[in-house]
Amino acid sequence: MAASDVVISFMILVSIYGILALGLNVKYGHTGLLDFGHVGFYLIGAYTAALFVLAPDDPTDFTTYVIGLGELPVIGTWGTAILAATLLAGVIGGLVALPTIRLREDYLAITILGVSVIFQRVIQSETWLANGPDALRGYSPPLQSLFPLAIDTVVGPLLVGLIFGVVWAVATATLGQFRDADSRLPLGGVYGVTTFGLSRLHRRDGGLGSVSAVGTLAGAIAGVASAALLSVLGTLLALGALVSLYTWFVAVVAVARRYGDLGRPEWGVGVALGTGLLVSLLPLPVLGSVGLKSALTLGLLGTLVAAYYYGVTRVEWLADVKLTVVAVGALWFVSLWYFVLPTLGPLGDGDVGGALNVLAQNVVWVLGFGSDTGITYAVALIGDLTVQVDYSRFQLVGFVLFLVGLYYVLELAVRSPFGRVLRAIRNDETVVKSLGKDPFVYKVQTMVLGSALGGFAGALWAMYAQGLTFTTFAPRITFITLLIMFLGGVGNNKGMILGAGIFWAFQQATTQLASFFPPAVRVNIQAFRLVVVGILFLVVLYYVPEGLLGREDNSPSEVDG
Amino acid sequence: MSGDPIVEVDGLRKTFGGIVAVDGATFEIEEGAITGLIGPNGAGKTTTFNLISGFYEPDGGTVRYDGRDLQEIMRPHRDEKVVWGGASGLTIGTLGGIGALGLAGLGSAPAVGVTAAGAAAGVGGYLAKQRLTQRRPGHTNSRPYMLARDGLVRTFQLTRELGEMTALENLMLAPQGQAGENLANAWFRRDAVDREEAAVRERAAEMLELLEIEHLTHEPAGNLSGGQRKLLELGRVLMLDPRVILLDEPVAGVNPALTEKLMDRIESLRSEGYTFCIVEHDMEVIMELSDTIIVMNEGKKLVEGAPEEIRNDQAVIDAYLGVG
Repeated sequence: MAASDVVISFMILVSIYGILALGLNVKYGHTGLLDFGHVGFYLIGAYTAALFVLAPDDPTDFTTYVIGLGELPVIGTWGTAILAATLLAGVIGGLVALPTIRLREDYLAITILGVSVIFQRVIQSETWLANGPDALRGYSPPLQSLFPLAIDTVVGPLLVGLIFGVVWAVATATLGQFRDADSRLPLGGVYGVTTFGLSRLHRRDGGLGSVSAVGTLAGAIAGVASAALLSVLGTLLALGALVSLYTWFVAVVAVARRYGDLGRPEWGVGVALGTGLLVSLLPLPVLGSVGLKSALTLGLLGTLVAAYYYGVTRVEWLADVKLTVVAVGALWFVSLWYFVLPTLGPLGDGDVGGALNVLAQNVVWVLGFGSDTGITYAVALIGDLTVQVDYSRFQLVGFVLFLVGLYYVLELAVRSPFGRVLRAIRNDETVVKSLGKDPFVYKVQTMVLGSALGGFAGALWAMYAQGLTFTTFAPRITFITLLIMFLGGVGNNKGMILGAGIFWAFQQATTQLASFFPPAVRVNIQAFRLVVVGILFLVVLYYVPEGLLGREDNSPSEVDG
Repeated sequence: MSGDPIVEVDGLRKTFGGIVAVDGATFEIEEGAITGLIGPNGAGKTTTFNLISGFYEPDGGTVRYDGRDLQEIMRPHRDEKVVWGGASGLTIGTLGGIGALGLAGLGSAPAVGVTAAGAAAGVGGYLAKQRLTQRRPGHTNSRPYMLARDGLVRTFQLTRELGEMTALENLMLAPQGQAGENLANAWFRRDAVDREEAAVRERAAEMLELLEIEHLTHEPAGNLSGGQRKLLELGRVLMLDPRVILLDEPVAGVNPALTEKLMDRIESLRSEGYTFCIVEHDMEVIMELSDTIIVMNEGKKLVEGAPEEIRNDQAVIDAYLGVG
């Protein structure tokens, strides 16, 4: 698997858990309702969606489930399934809330934890409902049969256009925000080109002139244009390269914006941290003996952590930027891992073309490489590149769209007077009562909204996993979501996405590391990482209780111009 | 100043276990006047406040606000009954329908019947439960927000500011019936909500200016000093456009200069037609402010009268000095 494929599946998981954490954040972060049973609504969403798209139960095979609506028109589609999953999880969240919401926060948490375990046990023991303790399978994600896309049909270019258009829209909207927020960066020219001149609309306020509207329009144009170009010229690789390079440009601008102000010493420490991490991991692929390589790696890692700890506790200027240098180090490490490490193998063999080939595969991330079904292009210096648009990239685009859309909808809610009442309830419910507002009604609405988001995430999980087992929906998931929430910053919607990103980066990294060990050890590492996650939770609560991004300032001072 | 009673307290009783906090208190609060409520510690003043503002459920006696019994005001309204009855019917009906179709394997016609029956049972069950609870002897509603909506508001003895929210947000929370407090409006009628929000913000800014704490507009309320919090609370209840304001120790812990300012504010608000009832331990303040003073002792009204009468009343002096 190329590094870009790892990143794609990572980002899919981040979107699912991001939405799940957004739901929990509505409950705890904004309203102060501690819910230890969030996974229950995730479960309801997942199973509801699966039952909507499954074909009617076949009594002759080994799976049994109560109802399968997959063969009905409209109702049996994924769109309806996601909608139904969201609605049902929301309604059940509301019903659970009606009797329990009067409880004080820790009692509420434990009660809903119990409810979520009940849901899980029902799925496990009621064999007629959703195949009991065995996996519920037999459905496929939407449009999967169209992949790998054939470019010479009508549907192929359209879907590629859709994917490229969405990527373009998200990148352009991000770039537009950077341009608005930071006039020092000379982005006007590039933005003008990538919006196809639409950036002029910005002069007007709101409506068509908003950054998201311009981004959407630019994305639509880019999508239609690439669909047209594809069907006429078939230049998939060139278009993919263009779109990918654009996203890398936006990423570089984002890094420059965030860390461009840092001085050389800070950058130096960050780069040293990242390089140090890489160096401490080097014994893993190089050495043979399990004992030797784990001892050496752990020793080097320990030295690195000790050096960092010594630095941030003894050096004054370093203490002020202790989280920033870690972020810079992580970025540096990820860049090395993504761009440099994969080329080392071919370079070691003296195969420059091969190295460039691998590099190209990782840079042009919107396209999948190396399968035998795609279109083959011969490129100078690099050699043959077989490219195709695979299903996971299509899925990623959809999931990211969902995440961005739900994030936007939630931001609207929490920045409105409704969100203000929620924050007031978290601060002091009695005040809310004394001001003529019924906290009960708001708390029930919060539970409905948060649980519905949990259900939405569950439906996406069902789509991604293509099979559901009750063991997946253990209370563990709730606590992982809580970790994500505390990591990113309670009450900060952006923090949920960051938290999900860090958690899944950790999961992916440990999976990769485990592959350097023999299978017997690998299992232990996989099990051990849950312990590490627990320790991470403690460290976060102890050292950064407000989370990495902190609580977001929703005060109106920000809004008024 | 109309002089009509707007709050009538009659034989109010409240016990906490063996302690009788309020024991048959009977008095009236005149509209457009400032009524002081004083008494030694443990006289039941704050408990009376909690009863009048609906935060406690009385064990006996009645409170009438604007001619209506508090219990009647706090009882669920008709539209609330429609919402909850409908929700109850919908839920039970849906569950019945799913059960009939999925579990019992009935056809669609009986399933529709089961759904309808379930819906009827849901609505009926909710209404019957409401009726039964409301008729149960001694049943009391504790829904103080209904009183605040009708213009009877209170502040708290220990200030309850919303510490993580700014002073401005604390004030902007208060106005009644903001369209944006409805989630659907917040999503789908954003223009209207934004307009209203701008108006509310302007009013809140004016209020901060009036209270002379406009320099703290964007300061989290938790960072305010004790006196500034008292001012903020007063401002917050004023944002509600109330008729009657119950102030529980408004100047406790406030420095003399600020106390002076607060008293001026209350006086000028009274002349604008607001009605105040004030619990306060600072005799200077209460004597200067009040039109009428009610002295409570051991859960009962001891005396009532103009400040000068109270100052010289032997029963009051005895109660405060503990002479039987």
